[in-house]
Amino acid sequence: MKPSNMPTPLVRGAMTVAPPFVLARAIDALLRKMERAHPRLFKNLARLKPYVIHVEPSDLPHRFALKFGGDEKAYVRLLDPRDETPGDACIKGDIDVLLNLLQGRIDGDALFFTRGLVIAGDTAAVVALRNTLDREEIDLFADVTSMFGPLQKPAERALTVLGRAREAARHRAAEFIDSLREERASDPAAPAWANERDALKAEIKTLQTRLAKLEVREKLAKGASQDPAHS
Amino acid sequence: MTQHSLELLSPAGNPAALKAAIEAGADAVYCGFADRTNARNYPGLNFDVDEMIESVAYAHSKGAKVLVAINTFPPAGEMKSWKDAIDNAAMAGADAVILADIGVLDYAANKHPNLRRHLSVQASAANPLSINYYRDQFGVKRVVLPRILSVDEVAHVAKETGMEIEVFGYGSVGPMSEGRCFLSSYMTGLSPTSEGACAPASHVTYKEDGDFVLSCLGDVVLNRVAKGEGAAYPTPCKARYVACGKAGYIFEDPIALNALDILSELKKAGVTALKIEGRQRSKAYVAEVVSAFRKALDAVETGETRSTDDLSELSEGGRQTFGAYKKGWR
Ligand code: SF4
Repeated sequence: MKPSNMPTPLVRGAMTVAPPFVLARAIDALLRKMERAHPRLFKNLARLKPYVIHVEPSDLPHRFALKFGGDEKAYVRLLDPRDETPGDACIKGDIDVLLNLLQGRIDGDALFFTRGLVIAGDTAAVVALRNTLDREEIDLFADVTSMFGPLQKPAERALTVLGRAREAARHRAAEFIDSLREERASDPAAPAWANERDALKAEIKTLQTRLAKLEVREKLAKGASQDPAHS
Repeated sequence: MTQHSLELLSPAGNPAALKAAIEAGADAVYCGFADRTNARNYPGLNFDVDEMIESVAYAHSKGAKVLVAINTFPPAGEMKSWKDAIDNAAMAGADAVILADIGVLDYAANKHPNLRRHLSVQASAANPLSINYYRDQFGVKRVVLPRILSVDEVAHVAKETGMEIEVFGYGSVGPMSEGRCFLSSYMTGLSPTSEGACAPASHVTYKEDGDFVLSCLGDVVLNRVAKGEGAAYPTPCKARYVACGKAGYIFEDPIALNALDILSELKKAGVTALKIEGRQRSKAYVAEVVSAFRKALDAVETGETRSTDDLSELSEGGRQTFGAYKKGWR
């Protein structure tokens, strides 16, 4: 199987920060592109029974509804966060897992065995979708970059470089945080500082308990003065 | 015992998987039509007639064979789909058909005498008397042995029958006598195994229950799987039953057969072809498992010793076994 060129962290980042209306338009454009690139996939999806599957990437703030079958054109819609209408089925997993699954680069059953993928609802809908997608050779990265027309190659290079730069930056940030942690751990003043913090925390907790007890006592005292039956 | 190279036989649930299998080094591919004539009848899976014709032509152009599984049992008065499947496989130029029912075998033998016939694992023929009967009556050339025999027993069958022997090398294992298990009928109210699916997707549901996932077939909860625990296929034989107050896998653990490390023993036993289970799996699975077996088989041929690829991530429950080949549980 060909390795994916898709800079997934970049995609995840972009999908996280993109305003919903921008994301919705990007999805429409990609769907139109895919329809041209994979007419057989859309024909096969239309031939299935009609279903709506909710796709919930566990590491993104968005949910999507995928509608297909019943002789109608398949489409993907960004779900409004307040929309509680259930789909026929629901698929949950990390976005890179879901994108790799869509492109047939990863085995759905293996993900299920390890619970990297969670499905709920009508299993027939999910099985039909998975089997129909698996018939197709999908390369999302190529589909996205081909939207740039004659600029496809430079766009591919730019996205790859951007993806790598983002990864490198993330890596550097992680290293920086690790080094801070190490510094703190090796700092001889750190234990004293940590001890002082813990002592203060304990003191606050004691004071809170004492305050709560006093409040209860005050309440009881007030109640007693208001209720002659208890005097 | 004649020494020959083992044929590597891959599953293909669709034309893309067939291509992936051949690219990864399969000598032959087995597949089925998109109806109940084969034992992997799931929505969106399998080949229509045009796809079969194109796929056979593609495989032949790459020097690979295509075997068509028509291995379910026709119900009374409904032979047409099975007869059509055999006629279409012959018309597509398939290298063999894999059959189980004696009526279907008889039809194929009479109508298409030149179309090679293999006996499916679904026929459950596991001893020389039974296998020789199929050979003599229906001109069967190869038998796919059920996953209940040890390596020594496989060698005995090969010697006594003189037939081409095909055995499973990798994939899901079921403990029941193959082709004769009707456990899921009690849970679904259907006869799913005779329709080509033990656990039809329409009757399977998964429910989240806190950190657990419940898998159900019909109204019956088959399993409750915790986070980090390997999950099983939702079939009755892989369910966790409560007996004597303890929940456990009474029939079969969620585990995959993997014969990668005993290929030379199987070859010595007289095996002709090594079959990988999983027409319901993806092309990614096909590519990875076939390429692992291709490398291992090539190493067996050259006498090279090499460590085999780790396929545990693709295995049911994340665990693997030699199954009946070693009968270690005895
Ligand atoms: S219950 Fe198990 S052994 Fe029986 S048909 Fe289903 S998968 Fe096969």
